[in-house]
Amino acid sequence: MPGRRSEEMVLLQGTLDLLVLRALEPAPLHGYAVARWIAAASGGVLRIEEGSLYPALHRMESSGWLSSEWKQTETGRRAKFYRLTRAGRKALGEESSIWHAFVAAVGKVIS
Amino acid sequence: MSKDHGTSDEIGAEIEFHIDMRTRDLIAQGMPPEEARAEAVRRFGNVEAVRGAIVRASRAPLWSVVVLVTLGVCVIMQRILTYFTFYRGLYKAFPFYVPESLKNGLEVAVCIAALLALGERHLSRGLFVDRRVVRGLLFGVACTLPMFAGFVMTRHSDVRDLPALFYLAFFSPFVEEIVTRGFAFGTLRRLGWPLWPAVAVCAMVTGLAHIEKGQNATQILGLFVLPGIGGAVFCWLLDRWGSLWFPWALHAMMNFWWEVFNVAPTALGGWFAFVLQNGSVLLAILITFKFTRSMNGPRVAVTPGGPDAKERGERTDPASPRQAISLARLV
Repeated sequence: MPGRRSEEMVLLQGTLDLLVLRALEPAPLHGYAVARWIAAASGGVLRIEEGSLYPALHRMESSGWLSSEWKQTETGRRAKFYRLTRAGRKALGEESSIWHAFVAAVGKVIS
Repeated sequence: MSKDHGTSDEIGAEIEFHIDMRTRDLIAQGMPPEEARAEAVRRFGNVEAVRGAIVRASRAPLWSVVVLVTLGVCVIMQRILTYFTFYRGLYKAFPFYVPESLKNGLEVAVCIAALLALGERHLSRGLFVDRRVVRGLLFGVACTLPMFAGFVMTRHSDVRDLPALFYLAFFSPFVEEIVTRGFAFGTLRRLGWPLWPAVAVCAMVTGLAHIEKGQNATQILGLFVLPGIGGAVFCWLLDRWGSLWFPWALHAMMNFWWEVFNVAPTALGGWFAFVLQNGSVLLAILITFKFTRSMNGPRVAVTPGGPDAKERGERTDPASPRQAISLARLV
């Protein structure tokens, strides 16, 4: 399609955290499943650079937003599953509010 | 429950699992196994850089304390050294830049020791001095042309002590940039600190490092606020350019014109000098906005055509080398 191409953007600070927290809200997931969930939930529009996901997962685990556990997957492989903690759920609520306020403000400016 | 979530084996297993899963999915989509594996590795990015970033992220709270304590030691280094008769004697026997260079050397040594303790194997990369040297120097010269033009029309140059000029204009700012920006700010950012808290900490330290020459409360306040704001700008420049040579060259050339035209013994030089200083800083900010883009946070591919864009022949390759470098630094 002439003139159209894939574009790469730098996420705003904290946006990746918000996406990861949201991905883990329904159920614990391993890192690969988190990446797939974000891609699927965005209709394939958002594709996180996969390696950058793991430092974010470990950072959020260090700050107490996530806990982790090694478990078997449906394919029989062992994988590290991340689960939202109570602090993580609270952070998800706060980050979501900030994001909605930001989007609303930008929408007002550009409309 | 995983207690030590940062062990090398666990990290390796986690990365391997991810790449295996991606390979499996690509094979399921019809890609030959070898090609699928290579594509999975490519999509994951630099495995060693990610592994290092995970270790840093896991240990960020403790390592942040190490960085802040190290920075604190550097701030009070002068006070520590004055307890030693030998050091006080250097001030009597030699020009001021001899003992102060010794102090600066110790500050850099402390920072390097801390970086090594934090596991940084490439010191030049860890201190952001491994790239863009020439462009950084040109940037500093270009941005301070307003200062040069303003001073050359209103003042006479008066350089009597070349070693002192070299120290004040180039060496001292170099050490300050290494300690406060390259080591402290750069490491805090790599540990996941958001931009502005990291800037605030380092700007305060820059302000504190300049107040010793203040003779009264007003001067001390001025010497805290003005260099503090300068320190914040230097941090931001490092964040945008990814090279210490940009803030250092600006810092050094501002000091250079200040000393060559003998403006004032401190960073406070009256309203005209203030306007020229800020003109240079403003020019640096404008140039930086023009030629760089914010690198805060990881990248995400936004594919307007959806996940099948590549199959349709549209470009989906990762970012430019400049972006890739910034990612490796900041993740």
